[in-house]
Amino acid sequence: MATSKGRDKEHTKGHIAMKTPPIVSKEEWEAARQRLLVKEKALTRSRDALAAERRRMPWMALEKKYEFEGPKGKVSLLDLFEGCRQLIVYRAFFEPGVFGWPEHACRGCSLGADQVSHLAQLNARDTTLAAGGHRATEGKDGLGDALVHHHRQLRQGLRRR
Amino acid sequence: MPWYTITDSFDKDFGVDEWHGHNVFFRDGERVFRTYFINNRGDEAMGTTWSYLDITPLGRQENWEDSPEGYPQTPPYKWWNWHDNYDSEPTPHPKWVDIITDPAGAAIRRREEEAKAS
Repeated sequence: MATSKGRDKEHTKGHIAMKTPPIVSKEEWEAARQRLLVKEKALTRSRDALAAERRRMPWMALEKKYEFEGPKGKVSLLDLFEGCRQLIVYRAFFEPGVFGWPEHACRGCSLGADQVSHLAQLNARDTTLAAGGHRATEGKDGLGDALVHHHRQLRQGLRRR
Repeated sequence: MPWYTITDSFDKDFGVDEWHGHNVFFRDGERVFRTYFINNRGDEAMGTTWSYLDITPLGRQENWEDSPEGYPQTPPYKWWNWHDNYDSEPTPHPKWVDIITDPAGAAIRRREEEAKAS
């Protein structure tokens, strides 16, 4: 973690180089906020319309029976739904060849795991979320432990809200 | 978030063999459909309850949304609950619904109840 002295130094350094916007009155600031808000509202409506279009995307039937290994052994893709009608599968990287292996999952994937909301909220809308990745064992000692550690990391990521 | 190890061509079949991504599936009994896929910069927006629901075929399932006919929808706010309270109280609490439906009326009723209790 950076020291406050270090941060101050960084801040001063940045302050000199930065070409910051004008300083204005309360009224001018509010007027600028209102001008931007028009565009922001347009974006919100546009995003809603895009989501509505997304809900009308055609569906593709799965022909293969996919199999995964979970904490309780072999499971099918159907099992990943945990009884819900909707499932989101995030492909995370935690395998040999990925930076941080075997102590950590990919930094980007771990950052993503840190920002995941509580699954009970998704479950309330008949939806669940799972992470999928590659076999972390492959007959090497200790890698099973690393996977367990990764499970913990994901769970901790969920708890830090 | 539960972790599952891929054992077959799942990653190749759904475009995630070399890079991260979110695949969305819908289940009708035993039949499974792929309904959506997002990766690259699209992935970074994922994480909130709303960002996930917005990429699902049913959406947020709230009645303000433009969804195809017959899709499940309930009013916003009313189904919202504490994350550890859905099991013990699956239906919305009548007082919470009252506050959301008629905030001014609910405030009056609360004051009346408090006056009675004191």
